[in-house]
Amino acid sequence: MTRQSDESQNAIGRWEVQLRKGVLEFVILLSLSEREQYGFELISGIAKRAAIDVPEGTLYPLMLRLAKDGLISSRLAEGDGGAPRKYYVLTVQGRELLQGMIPAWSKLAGSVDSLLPGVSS
Amino acid sequence: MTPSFADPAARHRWNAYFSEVGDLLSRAGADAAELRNDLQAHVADSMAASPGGSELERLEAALSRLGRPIDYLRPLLADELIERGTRTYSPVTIARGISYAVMAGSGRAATALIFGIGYLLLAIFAGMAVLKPLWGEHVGVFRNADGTISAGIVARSDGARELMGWWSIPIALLLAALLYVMLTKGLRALRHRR
Repeated sequence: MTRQSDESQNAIGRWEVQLRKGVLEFVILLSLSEREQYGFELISGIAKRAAIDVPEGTLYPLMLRLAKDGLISSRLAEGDGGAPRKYYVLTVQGRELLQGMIPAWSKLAGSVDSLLPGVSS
Repeated sequence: MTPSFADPAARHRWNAYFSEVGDLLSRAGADAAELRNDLQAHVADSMAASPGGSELERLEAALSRLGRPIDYLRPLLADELIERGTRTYSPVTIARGISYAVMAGSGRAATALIFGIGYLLLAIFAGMAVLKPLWGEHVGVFRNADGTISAGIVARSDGARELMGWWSIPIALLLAALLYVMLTKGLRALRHRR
């Protein structure tokens, strides 16, 4: 592989990481809108379904901030093995924000898609 | 929440990782213990969900997916330290927060750079006020022989004339104080907007 294509791949990789980080908050709220989930369940679900391949640790400080902002809350409940687990759930405020984010995301995704080569407006 | 490890190497690896997490989070304030517990529970769940391999291999895989603590905790530390610094008007805490923000990269770096320059200017004004009585010939605002103006802590050229004299002390102090309040309030507003 040439040096130029290596640089190009690196640039694409960096852009992709930033893009994924940018939508993490939205993806977390979407996942929690379905049902309450504990940390590992939520994160592995996001990694599988949304192919958001970021270090899993990135999610926890973000969850802490979402909780501080009143968008999610947590409660301790018994897990599968009996040890208590922390389950995250959307608050009313979080659900309202998500309802506003969904059309904004659809509009953005649609307008970017329309600029892709081979897609007529 | 530490799992009961049969393999001492796995226990050692766990302890080393969470000791690093603990060291970093000791600067983060009230939520540190909660975050550490969340991360430990995550690694324990991640190991339990791994299909096979030795205890150490499953732990290594789980820690690798979690990432290096410094990488994912930097933005949090930046936010926490800047918040604490702006609340208590502590320049040292703010400077530490800004250094984490710069290392965290992306848009934070540009913001941190702007505020860093602001705080540098502040330090220059404060330095002028302190150094003027000790090194008066080189501190202040000067008109050079060629008509240009030099200000701050300067190497005074021949024929340069001082314009403000001792007034440069209260003016530098006033500018430093104004800049400090503006920068601190700016950082605080920025944090609330995020």
